[in-house]
Formats: sequence, C-alpha cells, structure tokens
Amino acid sequence: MRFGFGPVPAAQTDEAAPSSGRRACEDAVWSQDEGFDSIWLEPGTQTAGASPVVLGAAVARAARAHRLVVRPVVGLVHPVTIAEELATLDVISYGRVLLAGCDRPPSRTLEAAGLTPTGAVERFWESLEIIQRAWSPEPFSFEGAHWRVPARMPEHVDALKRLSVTPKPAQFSIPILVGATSTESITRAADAGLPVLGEAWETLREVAAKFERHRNSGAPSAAQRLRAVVRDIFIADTRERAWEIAEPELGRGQARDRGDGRPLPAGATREVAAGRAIVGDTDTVLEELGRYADAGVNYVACRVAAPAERPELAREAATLLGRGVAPHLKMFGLSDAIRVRTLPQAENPVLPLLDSTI
Amino acid sequence: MRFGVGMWSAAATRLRPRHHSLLYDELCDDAIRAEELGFADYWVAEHHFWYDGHVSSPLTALGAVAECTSRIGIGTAVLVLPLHETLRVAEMAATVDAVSGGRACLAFGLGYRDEEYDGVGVSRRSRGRRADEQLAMLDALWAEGICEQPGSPWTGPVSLHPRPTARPLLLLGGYVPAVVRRAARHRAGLVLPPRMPLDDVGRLVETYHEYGVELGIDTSNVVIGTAVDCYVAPTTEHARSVAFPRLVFYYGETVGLGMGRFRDEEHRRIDADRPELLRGQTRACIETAAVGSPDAVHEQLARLERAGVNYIQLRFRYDSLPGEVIDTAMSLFAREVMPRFA
Repeated sequence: MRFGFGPVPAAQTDEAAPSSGRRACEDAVWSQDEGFDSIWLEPGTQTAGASPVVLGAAVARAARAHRLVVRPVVGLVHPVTIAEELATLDVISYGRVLLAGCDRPPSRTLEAAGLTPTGAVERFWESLEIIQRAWSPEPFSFEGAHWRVPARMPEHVDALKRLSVTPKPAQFSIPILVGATSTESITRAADAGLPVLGEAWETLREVAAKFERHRNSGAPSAAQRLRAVVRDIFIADTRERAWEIAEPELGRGQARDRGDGRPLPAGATREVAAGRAIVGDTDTVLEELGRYADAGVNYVACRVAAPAERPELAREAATLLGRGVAPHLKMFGLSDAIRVRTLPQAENPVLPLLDSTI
Repeated sequence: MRFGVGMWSAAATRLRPRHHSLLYDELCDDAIRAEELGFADYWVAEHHFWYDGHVSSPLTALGAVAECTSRIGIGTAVLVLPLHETLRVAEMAATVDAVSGGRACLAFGLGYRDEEYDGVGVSRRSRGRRADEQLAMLDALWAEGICEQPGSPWTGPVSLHPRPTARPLLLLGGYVPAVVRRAARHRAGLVLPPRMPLDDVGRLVETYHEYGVELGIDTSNVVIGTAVDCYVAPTTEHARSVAFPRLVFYYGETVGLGMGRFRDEEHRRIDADRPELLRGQTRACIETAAVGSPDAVHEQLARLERAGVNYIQLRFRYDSLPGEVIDTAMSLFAREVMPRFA
C-alpha cells in the first residue's frame, strides 16, 4: 500500500489568507519528510474553489520529491485553460502532476453555475477529452455538445483551424484518476482506460463496489492497478484523543465534500464517519487499513485535517502515520518477527541493536 | 521612480531551444535575482498557442515565484483578462497573494490576437465590455468577498476564499484612450507597452490625468508605468552588439510572425512573405529600447520620467540571452542606473 498526504484545501476558510498558503507549503515538505509520496490539492469550499494549481506550483518548488495530485474543478471553465494550467504545473514540477478529477463539482458550485448533476458529468467527460487532446503532441480541433475548439467565430479573421496548446506537459501525458460519482462515469472511465478513485464521502463498501463495477465494465488491467481512495484519517496517541480532534473536523470535512456548507447534526458525526473515516491510535488505524487492503485498496490519500489554530496536530498525525503505520503496510510479505513495533520490547531481537539516538 | 522586471515570458525559440522545465527554473532564478538587486516587482506575461512555450498560465507560474521569493512584488503583466473566467482569476490571484504573504500585483490587458480569443471561445469584439464587467466583479469580490450578479457562467452569487488582505496593485495595459479611461474609471494604474514613442507616452499620461479630473478621481498617487526593453553594458557599443541582434530576432519572430502584431495600413498582417516590411517594423521596435551605457540608459529613462511616468517595467530577458548575460545587465542597472532616480 502507498500513501499520499492531503487533500490540502487551497482555501482554509477559517484561516487568515496570508498564512494559509505558506502553511500548505510547509505541510507539504513535512509530509514528504515523513515518507508520503504525493500531496493532494483540492479547491476550497466555495463555488469553483480556490486554486490548487497555484498552490501546486508553490508546493512543487518547496517539496521536490512529491507527486502533485491536483483536483481542479473540470467542466466549468474552458478545458483549454485547464489543460494549460496543468501542463504549466507539470513543467514547473518536472513531470510530477497527476489529475484526480471528480466528474461533478460540489453541490454548491453546481447550484451557482445552474447545472444539473447529469449536465455536469457530461461537461466533465467532454472537457477531459479536450484536455487530453490538448496535451498530445499534435494540433487538434474538437466539436462537442458543450465546447467547440477552436471556436471559429466569424469575426476572428486570423483564427486557427487547429490549436497547439503550449506548454506541453513534461510527462508524455498527465496521468488521470476519475472520481466517478455515477455508474455512467465508472463505465466511461473503464472504456477510456482510466482508473477510478474512491472519494472521502463514500464508504469502504461503496468504494469496493466501485472498483468491482470498474473491473466488470472491462477496464484494462493497467487501469485497475491503482485503486486509490481519499480518506479522513485522525490518528493520535490514544483513541480518545483522536476522536477529540476528529469530531469537529469530520463535520467540516463532510460538509465541504457535500458542498453545501451545512454542518452535520449534533451526534451524527460518528454515524456518518463509519466506513468513511478512520479514527484511532496507530493500532486501530493499522487494523482498519488492513481491511482496506483486503477490500482491494492499494493507495490511500490521507486527509489529515486539524483545526486552523492547532496546525501542529496535522503534523503529529502525519508523523504517526508515516512512522507508525505506513511502514508496516509497506513491509509486505515479511514475517511478523520483523514487524518490530508490535513486539513487546523485551522480546524484540532488533531493538537492542539500534542506536538509541535513532 | 520605481523599477520592476518584466515582462517575463518563456522564450525557447529556435535560437536557443530548451526544455520548458528549465525555463520555469530560469523564471524563479531571475525573480530571486531581481529581489536581491532591489527591484520593486517581477512581472510575468501571457500568450497562447506559440511554439516557444510562451507562458499561458501566468498565475500558475507566479505560484512558483511566490514560494521562492519573500519581498519582491509579483504580478501578471499582462494577463489577458477577457480570455479568463473572472472568479477563477480572483481565486488564483488570491492564492498567489496567500502564498506570497500579500505581494500579488495584477496588470491586465485586452490582448489583440484573434487566435487566442477563438481558442477559448470568447469574442474579441466583446473584450472591452467584458473587461469592464470583469473589473467590476473583481472589485466586488475584493471589497466584499461576494459578487451578487457575477454573470456567465454563474447564475447566482459567488464568493471569494481566500480574500487578499488588501486590494492588489491593479494596472491596466494598453495604449488607446479607451484603455486609459477604463483605468481611471476603475481606479487602476497604467502600464503602457514597450515601443511607444515618447510623445505618445506623454500624451497618454496627460489624458489619464484629465480623465481622472473628469471622473472626480485623484490620480496623483497612481502608478503610471511603461514597459521598456533594456540592456546595460559599460559602453553603448557593447550593449547594442549584445542586445540588438536578439531584440531584432525576438520582434521579428515572436512579435511579428508569431503574435501577428505588425499590420500594414490596411490592417493586414505583415508576414514572412513581405520581408522588407517585417524588417522595417522590427527596426522600429528597437529604436525605443533602452540599450546602452549606464549614462545613456539613464538619460532615456529620465525622459520618460519627465513625461509623467513613475514606474518602469524593464525587460532584460528576450529570447536567447543566456542567464549570466542577463544577470550582468540587471546588476549593472541596479548598481549604476537605479540609484540615480529618487
């Protein structure tokens, strides 16, 4: 199993603007140092969202190893613009971008744009087609239900017949994960040879069903290799402390996912969190992630949130995950004797050999 | 008089083709250097659909610059505003502002290329009206955090998070009276393009202040800027030998052929099929460049100051100049020209 860090919302709504962007860069470096191999960047809570690509460019300079998993809203603004932004980010980051697009934006954004969920999904897929063509080496044109590229307006005397978008990504093409919220999107992702992503608001059962549907829709084996999920993870030295941190943040996170800004009803957090979030100490989290592995998940984007006034809690959680949980899930196939953490110190054959300063 | 460095754009033409990732490293290196040398701001330009890798997403590029600098103002000059969805511009600019600790500046222009407008499905004919609507929306978002009637593609109010801590420095680029009036109306400063004859600069500056009086706006503390191609060397002869061939290529290849900027009297594009006209236009472009010894460059820029300009955006990087050559010119300017201005 592999682990990403985030998503880091590009807009921390409770936080004063000047510190939020800088903190995101610092968190990125921190998570990289704790062994996470990617950082996930998503829009903020409002309408189309603050800018994950701008934040991604800053993070790309600060954290030189991370993959940058960017989650812009796809389908609202012109897809050529999205293609250019993501290609620019990929060039800035020397080819480290991955696009994890959700097939429809949060409900608040849908409402502000006057779109239906079905309409949003159609625009997403058409936009994705244009974006991929824009990244290809050759000029292109496109005519669809929502976009015509180039537009070929009669008043544009010098208009091109085909476009060549620059820059091209540093990668031959930017990998794409699809946050498919509908059966149609799962099927289309399978047809397009794209992996699907389990979203934070989906239960583990729903995620497993999504992967199965994707497989049964004929997704090529290469598209099934990455089975990723976004998960709220709250980890602390005790379960009680983990829940103390989790309760308010889970409510905010779920409201953000739903996109309607409404907090959960009192007492509903744990019920909603069941199957959607992982809360506990390292043993609990490890056990839960074991269930995720059994369900077929092999990549977890750990959404580690903390109150704005206590940013150090996110870093503590990242450290616990990075040092206390992830290594065990990476030690695949090794004997239990080597999983030193779980052995009591007296029985541990390795610990005495370690330098106490490590 | 204040000095900034711009209009940075990726330029990996056939004179010096490079991997585009290296261009963005150069962007950041130049910004760091400009900050070290004491320039006030660093500006990134925008163009689309040209092979040299021209920056097509300047606000994305500024995210990287924000991280690697700490004091210098960073901005777009110019971002072609009508090509973009306004809320997206506001959000990206606000994110630049958040990462940079409040250093974002914005200079907007209307552009001039049919290809760019057509590429994103916006009519170039509507650019003036569209820009007015966009500027009004930006003002509402910056002031109140919400715009009740944002217009297409939105059918309902939209809000901005994060908001900049203060209204960013706002400039409008262009050289026709309509742009100057728009700038005054929206309480924005001006950034005039390079290659403008000095008399025209003076006239536009006067026009700006006249509009201010007419609209009841105090324009005494507004940024009145212009962009100038610049190269400084110990002697004018040396400066010209380095800069002129590259400027000629840049204007001929990128501005002329690529951007289609040169037009004849019937407004037809001047392309490679009319080489003498193309060469004539390119030579005219370099006549206003500030290329010379420190004394010569100082005198040229002082004339702009006397014409009413209080901000100059210096372009040191045009096409194929190697980094160390640019650094030499920037350093000499900072050391021997900049201090002569108050």
